[in-house]
Amino acid sequence: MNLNDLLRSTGEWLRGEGPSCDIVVCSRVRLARNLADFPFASRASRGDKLEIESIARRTFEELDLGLTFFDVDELNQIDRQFLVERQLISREQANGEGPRGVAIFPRETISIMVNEEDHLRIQEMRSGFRLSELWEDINELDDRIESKITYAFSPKLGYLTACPTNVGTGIRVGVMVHLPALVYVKQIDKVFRGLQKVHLAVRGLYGEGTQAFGDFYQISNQRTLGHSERELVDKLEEIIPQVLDHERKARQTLLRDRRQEIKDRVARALGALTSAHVISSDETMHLLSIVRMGISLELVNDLTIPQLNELFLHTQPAHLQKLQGAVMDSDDRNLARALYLKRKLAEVRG
Amino acid sequence: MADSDDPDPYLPERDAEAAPPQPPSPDDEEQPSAALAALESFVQHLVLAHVGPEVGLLARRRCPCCGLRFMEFRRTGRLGCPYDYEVYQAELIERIAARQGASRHVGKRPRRAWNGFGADLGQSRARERLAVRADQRAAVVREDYETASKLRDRLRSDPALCLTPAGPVASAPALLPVPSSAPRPDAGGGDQDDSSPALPDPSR
Repeated sequence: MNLNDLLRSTGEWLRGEGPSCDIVVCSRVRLARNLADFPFASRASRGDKLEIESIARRTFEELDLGLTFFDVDELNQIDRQFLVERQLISREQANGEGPRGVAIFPRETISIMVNEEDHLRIQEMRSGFRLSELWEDINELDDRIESKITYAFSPKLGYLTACPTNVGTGIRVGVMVHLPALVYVKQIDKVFRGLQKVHLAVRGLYGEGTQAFGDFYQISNQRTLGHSERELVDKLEEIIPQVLDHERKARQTLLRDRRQEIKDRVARALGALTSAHVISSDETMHLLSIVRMGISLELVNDLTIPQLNELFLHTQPAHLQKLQGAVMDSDDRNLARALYLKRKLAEVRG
Repeated sequence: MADSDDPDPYLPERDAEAAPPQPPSPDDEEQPSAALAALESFVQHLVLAHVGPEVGLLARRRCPCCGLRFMEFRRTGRLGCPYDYEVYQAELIERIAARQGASRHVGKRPRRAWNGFGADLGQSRARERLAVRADQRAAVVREDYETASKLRDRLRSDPALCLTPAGPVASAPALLPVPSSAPRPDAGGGDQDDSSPALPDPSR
């Protein structure tokens, strides 16, 4: 498998399938793990990092996990950004320095970052709302890796991590949700305040410190110590349906009270996407978000969520450049993006 | 860090007992410049002058394995090695408990684990293990393969050092009661104040 193979699909997490996939784009569980006798990344020398990478790669091979390893340090800027856009590595991993890499399962359900903030960041993602299933899978994968690698673990504090906010279980359980109606009826802040009260964090599309483009948000546990992994999964499984319920009610309210306004908004978004001559990725994301809501409300009948997900991913800067096979500056990308959208939307809508 | 080797104009007396052994030297590229070292010393002097000797001692303490000072952790929010959890146990536990609302792990335990990070402070074998590993890596770098080989054998054969699976890890009691005022339910991502210095937001 090489990176260009990934271009042919959107990856498992954007398949637009699974429970509550009208709102929950994908579910994600990640574990932060460190080798017992190496310094954390901030203090690790180049030699340490090379050795950690070598141990990790050997382990993945011995376990026959079917992962392909990419040396992020060797990748060019576009390929690194491409992996970020597919949520396979973090921005920190992309922009970091020194030996570091990522091991990816062909269907992109699993990625293991090596030498990120922690020595290993094991991540599993699936489309739709299915955290329990993900936790069971990743727990088993973690057991297999742990049969070969001795983790830094303390009986008192659990898995020891470079940042104490991850210490304990080292787990982050979360969902990426699309909440356009709650944003439209200005109820989103109220929902976020409620989530914070139960110690759940809300972030933008690409994690900590990023903006919420296109009304997409990530909701995940804030605490990692004092609760078992199962308890944290159960908590999200209890709370997230309440958020989904609020979003669905807001959508029904919009359909009932402001149907013509919403229909107009969706039609204008589609109009702009099909006729723009230049368009930025931010504007594209914003307009696709409106169309996505239109699909969910059955106001758009000639597009599906998986088709929209593909547009969403393929119009991001690195994907666009790889599809075009050329390095482009921002102005050229905005032209190429508009052309791509025009052509693709005409193709899928017949 | 270079500041321990140089005369320090800002710290009038050096407490011999408080001065820990030098850590293994990191890569050259990670060595701070003399100006940075002087700045760090100056900041430590200010800490000592304004908050008293106890915090001053903390400012001067450094991890014998990775060389991290607590002030660096406060600045970056990142620890240098697993042993830092023992070196700065008291300071970290207070902050972790305030942030996480708990001070004891209750989740998954490795089926095979090295009990190096002991349940009791001072009984840990982590420091020695990490130090010997650092020596071994340094020997490889300088192509002293004989020493590297001896150290590798020691890591494998010394029962106190080897990472032999020690079976299921026993559970341990809470280190600190959870402060009742610590978890502020309405604070969300910003539940920090001056008395409980910042831990960064949970990351990705």
